[in-house]
Amino acid sequence: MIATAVISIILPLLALVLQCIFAGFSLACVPSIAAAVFAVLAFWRKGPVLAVVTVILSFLQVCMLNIQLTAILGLLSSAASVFLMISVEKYREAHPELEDPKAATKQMIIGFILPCAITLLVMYAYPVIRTFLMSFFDMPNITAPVSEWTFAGLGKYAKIFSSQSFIRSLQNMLMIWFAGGIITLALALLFAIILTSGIRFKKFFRAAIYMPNVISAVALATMWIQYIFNQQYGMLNSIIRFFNGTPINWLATDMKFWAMLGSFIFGAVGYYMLIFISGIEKIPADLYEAATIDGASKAQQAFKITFPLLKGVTKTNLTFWTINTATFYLWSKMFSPVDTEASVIVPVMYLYDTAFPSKGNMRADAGAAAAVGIVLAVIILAVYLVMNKLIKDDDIEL
Amino acid sequence: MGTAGFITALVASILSLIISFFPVQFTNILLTLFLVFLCIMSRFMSERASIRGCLIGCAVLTLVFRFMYMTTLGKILYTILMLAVIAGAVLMQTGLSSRTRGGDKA
Amino acid sequence: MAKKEKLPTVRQHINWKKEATMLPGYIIILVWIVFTAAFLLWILAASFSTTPEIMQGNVFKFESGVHFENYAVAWSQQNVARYFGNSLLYSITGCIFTILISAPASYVLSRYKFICNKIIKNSLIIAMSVPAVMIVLPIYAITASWRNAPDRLIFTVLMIFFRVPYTTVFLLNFFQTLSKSYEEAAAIDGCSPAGTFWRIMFPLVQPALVTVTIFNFLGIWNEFFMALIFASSQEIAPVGVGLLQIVNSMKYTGQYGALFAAVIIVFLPTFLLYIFLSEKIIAGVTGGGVKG
Repeated sequence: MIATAVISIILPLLALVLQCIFAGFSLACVPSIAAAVFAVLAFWRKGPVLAVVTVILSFLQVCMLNIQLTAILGLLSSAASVFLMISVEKYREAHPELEDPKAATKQMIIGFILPCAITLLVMYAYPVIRTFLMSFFDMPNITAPVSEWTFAGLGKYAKIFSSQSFIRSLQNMLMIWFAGGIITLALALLFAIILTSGIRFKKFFRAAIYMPNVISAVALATMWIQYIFNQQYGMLNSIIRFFNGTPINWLATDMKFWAMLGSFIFGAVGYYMLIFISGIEKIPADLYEAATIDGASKAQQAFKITFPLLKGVTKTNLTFWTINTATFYLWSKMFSPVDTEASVIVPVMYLYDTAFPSKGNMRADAGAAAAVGIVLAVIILAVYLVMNKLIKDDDIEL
Repeated sequence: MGTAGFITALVASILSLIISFFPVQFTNILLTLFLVFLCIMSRFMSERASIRGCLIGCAVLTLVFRFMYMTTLGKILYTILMLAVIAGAVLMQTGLSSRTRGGDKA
Repeated sequence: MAKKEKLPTVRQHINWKKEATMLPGYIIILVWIVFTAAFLLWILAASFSTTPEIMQGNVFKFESGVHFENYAVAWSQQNVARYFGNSLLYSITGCIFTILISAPASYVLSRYKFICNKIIKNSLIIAMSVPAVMIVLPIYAITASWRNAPDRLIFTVLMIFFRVPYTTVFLLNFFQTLSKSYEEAAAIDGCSPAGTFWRIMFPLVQPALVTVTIFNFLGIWNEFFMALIFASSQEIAPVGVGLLQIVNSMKYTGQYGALFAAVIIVFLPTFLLYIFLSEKIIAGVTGGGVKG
């Protein structure tokens, strides 16, 4: 067994070294490292499952290594790991005392959690850390390896904050957050109160108002731009013409932002309404009954009972709204599909244009783009923390 | 059942080995060579379910990773052959466990 | 108001006084809904009209008949068929694999104690609120170094990974509520722990799986930002990006009827899903997913 283990550890490492020498380090090298690691583990723990994983990983080398020599090495190591697998199993059979009664459970836990943990590491932990580092470095392009980075200190942050369009994008974002937030949450709360006040067809109304949230936002935005705001046949201008007014160009530079905000709010209200509704429905009904007996009107009930008890839900909604506006992108893109326009620019759009410039004369600056990402994340975090401090959860919370 | 499965898997993997010579695709030759090897191994050591597990895993990997380098005809042929290998491995396994109630590893 | 006159036929005992106090409420809601309905109906009508008819603003008259050929033009000439197929591929494979990764993880996280349990749970909740802009740049770098792989595969994998934290957190509560006796009974009958999960626990949380799969489907179908970066070429674009391309090429083609037909095609699958499953979706929004 020792011989097979040594071979199936050495061969992938050899393949790795040769691959690195001849073709440089790339994603193709990962299976080799993993195969060697798992071969060590399989030998050390005498784990049959680990040995099976080793075989599969060794095989993956053949799929991915792109030099003939290393691919052959991969093939050989695959064959070696099959023998390793067999000898590990034989060892297990010869030593039944090694069997742990809880081994099956342990294996299940590891097997079940591993894909999820890998997802977290590959898709979230590593990228977040790398984005953070990138924001302090200057690099020729996004895909440049770390060795080509040069330290830039806070230079990237200085650069974006001295950029006219970034400042403009932050202003726009703030406007969306503040004006849009007030309108959206007010409308959502209004609808929620109406719908929970014992109205008929509640389910239908609720479903109809939430509907824009489930359909493709691109389709929704196209509908708004091509129909509602159209200058010739659009709905708004038809209404204005009906009342003998002068048609307005809704998509002109000075109106565009408000047109965008209006259509965005239309889509967003339903979601916040649902959360308000679920918050209101959690308020005990006897509170209202007592209030009605004491002669409080509906409006009084709303101000004295509903609003104070909705603090927790409002916090949830505000947090979601903040995340929503900080990552606001789609509607801006739809309202300025080809060239980014200053009137609707938002930070994510600025980030996209910085990282993937569409015009030839602009150089991609991945460091600055990463800095934008970090700024957005800090904003979200700050708002979240402030919200937690300002609005204390009450007993009744969502 | 077991023999039928073995023959299916072996024939399919040998066929895929042959078609990877027209034209010569180096990696495909290596991959299918290993599949043939695993087929033979799983016949010799028929009590080891893990080899058939590896055979299935490797056939799936071959399919996924080589898919992009092939012509449409190659993709169709490879898909059929790899599915045949997987089916053969499953048949071998079921044939065995119905006879001896061998270990059943996923 | 029109609604009020119809009411007596629906239910006889109506407290008119109570209804009257809610009149403002009815009016506000109805205005909103009539606007939505008018808007959708107009788009639907426009998708059956010719470009001149749309330009003149009389789409509801159908003077030159109903033009189904708009759909044919959108479907084949403007590539909607391809975008639609791509989106279907991403959504379906994405939903299946997300469940296959998340459900087992969620099961062990909610029912077993082990070292990293708390850490993983918390990281999942944090990962749920990490905005996409924080992770796209490094992921772009990773995928760019692996240009051999088919782009469809890369985007599908990204979509799967992107939905995993949400799905896992969503399912945690549902696994927690299951009784411990199922596992004990299965263990007595000699079922392995993993077998217990797949044969007994997995089917038991089926309702939650269906709900979360609907959300994943909607999420992947409507994905735009990631698609624009990782799947923007015409061959592999999903419907969102595809529609953007159609809109951008409108300047040259000028076929408004086909544009609206394309909008309807993109909009229809999720809309139909919503008509049949709106109760389940709404319950899912307010129930499981929002905590976090």
